[in-house]
Amino acid sequence: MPEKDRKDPVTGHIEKEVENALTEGLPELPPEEAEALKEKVRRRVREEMAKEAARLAREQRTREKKRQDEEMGEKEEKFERFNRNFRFQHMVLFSSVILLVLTGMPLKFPDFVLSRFLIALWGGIQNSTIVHRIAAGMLIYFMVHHFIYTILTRDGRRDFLLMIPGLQDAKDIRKNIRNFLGKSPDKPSFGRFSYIEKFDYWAVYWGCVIMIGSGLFLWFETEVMRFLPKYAVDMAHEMHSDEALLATLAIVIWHFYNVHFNPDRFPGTLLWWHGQLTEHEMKEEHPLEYEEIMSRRGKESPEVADR
Amino acid sequence: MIRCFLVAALAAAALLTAGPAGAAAPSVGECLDCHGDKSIEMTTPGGQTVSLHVDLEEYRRSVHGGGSCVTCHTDAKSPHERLAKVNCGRCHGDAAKSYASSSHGKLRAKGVADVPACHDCHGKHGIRKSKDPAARTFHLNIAAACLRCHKDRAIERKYGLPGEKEMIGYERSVHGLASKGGQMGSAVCPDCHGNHTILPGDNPKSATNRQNIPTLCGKCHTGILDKYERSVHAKGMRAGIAESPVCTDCHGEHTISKVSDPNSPVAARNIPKTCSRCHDKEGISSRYALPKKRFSSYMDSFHGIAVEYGMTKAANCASCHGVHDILPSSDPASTVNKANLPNTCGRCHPKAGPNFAKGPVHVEITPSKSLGVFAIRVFYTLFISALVILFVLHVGLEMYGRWNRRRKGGAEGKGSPK
Repeated sequence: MPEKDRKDPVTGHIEKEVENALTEGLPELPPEEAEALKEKVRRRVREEMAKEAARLAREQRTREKKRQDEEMGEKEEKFERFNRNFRFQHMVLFSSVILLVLTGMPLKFPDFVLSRFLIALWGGIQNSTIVHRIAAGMLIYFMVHHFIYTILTRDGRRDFLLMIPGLQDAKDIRKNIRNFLGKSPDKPSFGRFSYIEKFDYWAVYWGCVIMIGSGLFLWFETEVMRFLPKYAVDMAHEMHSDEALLATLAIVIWHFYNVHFNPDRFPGTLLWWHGQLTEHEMKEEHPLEYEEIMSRRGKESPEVADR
Repeated sequence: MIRCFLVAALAAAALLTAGPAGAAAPSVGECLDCHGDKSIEMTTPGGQTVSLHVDLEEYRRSVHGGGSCVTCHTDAKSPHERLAKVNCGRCHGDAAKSYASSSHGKLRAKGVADVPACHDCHGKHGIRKSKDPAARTFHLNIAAACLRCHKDRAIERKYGLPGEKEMIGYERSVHGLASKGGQMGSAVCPDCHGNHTILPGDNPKSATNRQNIPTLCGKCHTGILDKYERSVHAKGMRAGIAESPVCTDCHGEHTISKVSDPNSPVAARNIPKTCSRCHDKEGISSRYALPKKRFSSYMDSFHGIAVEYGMTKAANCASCHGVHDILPSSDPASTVNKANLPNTCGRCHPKAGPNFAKGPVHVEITPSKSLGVFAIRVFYTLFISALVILFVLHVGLEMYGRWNRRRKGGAEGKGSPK
């Protein structure tokens, strides 16, 4: 090892110095005793030097490993799963939902211990209801944005079509459960969207329609009651309150587990920020999509070569 | 000239000798010969030392100051032994009579020495007219006179009187504060309890008896009494229903405070609790065939929750039902009569239309009361339960699968696939 070669002259030099110092410092002692003492000191010095050398070697190894890992990571191809537009939509959605839950749930559960605190956080209910409406505006904006995105962009159209549940999803569920139970070793191979993600997507779709619809009834109750009786508003109120609970539970149990607390991802992922998956993750989580991309490339590359 | 002097001297001698010798009543000056001495004292049989000094100045300024000692101390001679008790009733017959019929008077007749006699409130030699600001019985001073005993814990305990808290409550009440602030219109103790005829509230003759409360408060709050008289509560009260509220049931008694005081039972935020003290009682709603679950249905509504969180502009009971002139919804004049609802709602929701009256205001989620809301709730209860069970099952199974694989796979499965 290069370290050993580098170290040896140094070690020798130090040992010589210690030797000199010892002979100078022990003139009066009888030679046997002096020799014993010298031997002791020498042994101790050697031990210390060995320890130090080992430490340096360890550090060197970790540094190199880190560099190698970084090089590997850079080499591994990144696949863009969510484009910038989609990431922006997601950020608007989650900011709005967090605000809505924080300001809305205390109204559903006024006896909950944190409710008073959550309302006081905004300086009282007068303000929290305003925050709720601002967040509602954000959610409505998100809904409109997503709608236009779905219709007007190629990615949007493709994703929407891929989101439509099919027979394959039922098969995947069956396969996945059998795998969980240990009855079959192979996991289902998912395409761009697994049934878990499809469920998440349609839950948000359904949730947004109900929440925005019933929420607007409550927001503009006087205008609504120009056309509809009060009990329609009461029904909207009930719907708003129950659907809110459902949406919150779906996010907290389904989405959070599958995205954040799943042991593969714990304690979370920055996918929502950079939108990228590594090749390894692609192969692991969306093998069919990965294959598709690869085969498309295979078809494309000869064309490129032809040009 | 000389003759003149002689006559005067004789007359003076005659006067001087007449005093001690004759049985005639002593003059004020003669009494003061002894009682003007500040150090004159007496020891009672109980062993207490009592000053016998009389402040002439104070007496002269009193309402009786123009008279003489013997008008009250009829048995006074010079010198004299212990005198009989002064009987104010000799002149103040009416007051003595009404005092005798009061709680204080009755107890005194039984020999209870703790209860006040005339002088305990009015004073002795320095009695002044109650209009005189220096009088103990002056409007703004009387509460202090009453509280001298009624804030005494020993007395309260001994006779089962309302506690000290109640009395301190008066001092902090809207009436007590007004009186402290020097307002002559403020209600002080005798304004409600009477002066000489004080009787406990459970006595039907007492001014503070339930049946008499509205009239009593109406002495000052005339306009409000008129409104109250029209309400269903007054109707019940007149019918002798003791559960029908009078002023004090909502406003409190000694502790009455302004509506704007957040601790007042009639403050916007506390109104629902105050009304539900009766209207959330099973017995009362069944006895008088009142709709049930008024409180819980209100507290489930946005109005209830908003008020609970301190949004006082949100509707409380009184916002819709009225305050003193509450009427049942069946009454066409009621603010919560179906025909009047749009108007009532419109006080806060401008442009409220007739649709505001279509559907119950207190929404009870039962199939018979609000089927639509009930159906939605049932649907969501099932839907949420089913989905949550599925979520948890899926997540649980996945975790089980991981654990299983790790257990079987040993070192190989340790690093989960990543």
